[in-house]
Amino acid sequence: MTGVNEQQELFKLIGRQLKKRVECYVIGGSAMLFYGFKTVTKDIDLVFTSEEERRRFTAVLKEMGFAHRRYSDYTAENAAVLMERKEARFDLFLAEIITTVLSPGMISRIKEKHEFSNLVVNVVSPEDIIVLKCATDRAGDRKDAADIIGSMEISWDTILEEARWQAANGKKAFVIFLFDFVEDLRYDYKAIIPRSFTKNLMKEYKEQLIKLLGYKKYKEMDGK
Amino acid sequence: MAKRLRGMQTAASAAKALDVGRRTAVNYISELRKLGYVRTSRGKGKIRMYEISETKAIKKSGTDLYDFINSLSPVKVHKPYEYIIHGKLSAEEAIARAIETKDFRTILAAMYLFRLVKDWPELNRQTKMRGLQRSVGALYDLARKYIRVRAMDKRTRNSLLKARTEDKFIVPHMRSKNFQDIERVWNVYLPFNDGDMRR
Repeated sequence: MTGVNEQQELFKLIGRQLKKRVECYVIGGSAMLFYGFKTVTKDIDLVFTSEEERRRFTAVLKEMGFAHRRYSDYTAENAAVLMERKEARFDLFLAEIITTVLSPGMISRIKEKHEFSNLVVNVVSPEDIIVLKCATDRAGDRKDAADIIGSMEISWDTILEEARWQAANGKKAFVIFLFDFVEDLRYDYKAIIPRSFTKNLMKEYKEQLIKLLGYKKYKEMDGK
Repeated sequence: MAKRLRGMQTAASAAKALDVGRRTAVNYISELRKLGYVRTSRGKGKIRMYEISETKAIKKSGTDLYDFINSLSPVKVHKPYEYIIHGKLSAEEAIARAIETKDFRTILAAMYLFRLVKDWPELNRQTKMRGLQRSVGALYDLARKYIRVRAMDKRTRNSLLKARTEDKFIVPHMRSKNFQDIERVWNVYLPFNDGDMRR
C-alpha cells in the first residue's frame, strides 16, 4: 500500500535519478490520491506515450531495487509492465490501458501537472479516472468510482463523449463495458447517475451491440 | 454541507445558500475548515472569501507556476490546470517556463517578473535548456520599454544574441505591428503590440 506522501517521495526520488525528462499520466487509485479521494492505493498506475520513456523509467526503478515482472495474464502488444518492491508497486502502461486508449481528450483534460525534477506527472481528470476504472472487473474499482461520483459533480457529457471517441477509435466494446459498469454503480453502489446520461449511453450501447453482433443476432438476444 | 457550499463563498452567500443566519454560517464554515474542506483568502475590500471543496484539500508540496506568476504580476492568469513544481522556483525559471507555455497571457504576465531577475546567468541557463534564448532577449528588451527592470549584464546579452533561432514565433502565428525594431535584433516575432503593453 502506498500513501500520498510515500507516492510523492517516490516520484521525487525517481525524478532526481532520471537523466532525461520523462512525461507520464497517472491514473486509477494513484490519481485519486492527488485529489484526496483516497488515502492509500495498492499500486501506482502510470501511462506513457512512448516506449523510450517507459524504458528510461523502468531502468531507474531497477536501480532503486524494484523487481521487473510481466503480467502473466496480459500478453498483448501493449502489455503493462509490473514492477514491485516490498509494499510499493508500479503498473506501467504504454498508451493503452487494458480496454481503453489514452485519448487526446484525456490529455487535454488533465487537472494537475507535477514536475519532480526530470519526471513530469500529469493527473487525469476525475471523469477520466471513472472511464478508465470501467476497464476492469474488480469490485474495488467500482467502489472507487462510486466514491468519486458521491463526492463531486461529474461532467457526464465528458464521459459520454469519451465513450464515443473510444468506440470510434477501435475500442468497439468500450461502450458495452461502460454500460455494465454504470449499471453496477447504479444498482450495487446506489450511485446517483443522471437519467439523460444512462438514456444516451443505452442508445450507444445498442448501436455498438448491433455493430458487433449484427442486427439479426442482436434482435435474437433482445428477444431472449 | 461541503457539497451545498461548493465553490467560492462569503459569509453572507453561505448564509443565503444554507438559509441560516450569518453567524451560524460562519460557525459551519469553521467546522468545515477543521475537517479540511475550506481554504480562506481575502477578496476585494478585504472580505473573507472561503473556497469550499467537496473533497478534503490535501496539502500539496511544491509551488504552482500560475500562483507564483499571479502573486508577483499585476496581470493575472487563469490556470488551465495546476502546474506544480516540486523544488525551488525562481523568477528566472518562471520566466523560462512561462515562455515555454506559448500562451499569450501567461507570457504577458510573466514579463513583470523581469523586475525580480538578479541572476542573469541563471536566466541564460534556464532559457538555454529550453532553446528560448532569443525569445527571452526580445521579451526583456520589450519589458524594458514599459516596466522598470534591472539592466541585463553584457555577457548574458551577448550569449543570448549568439544563440540559434529555434522557433521564430514566441506565440504561434502572432507577430507585432509596433516592435519590429526589437524583432529584427533578436530574429523572433513578438506577440505583443503597444496596446497590450499599455493595458
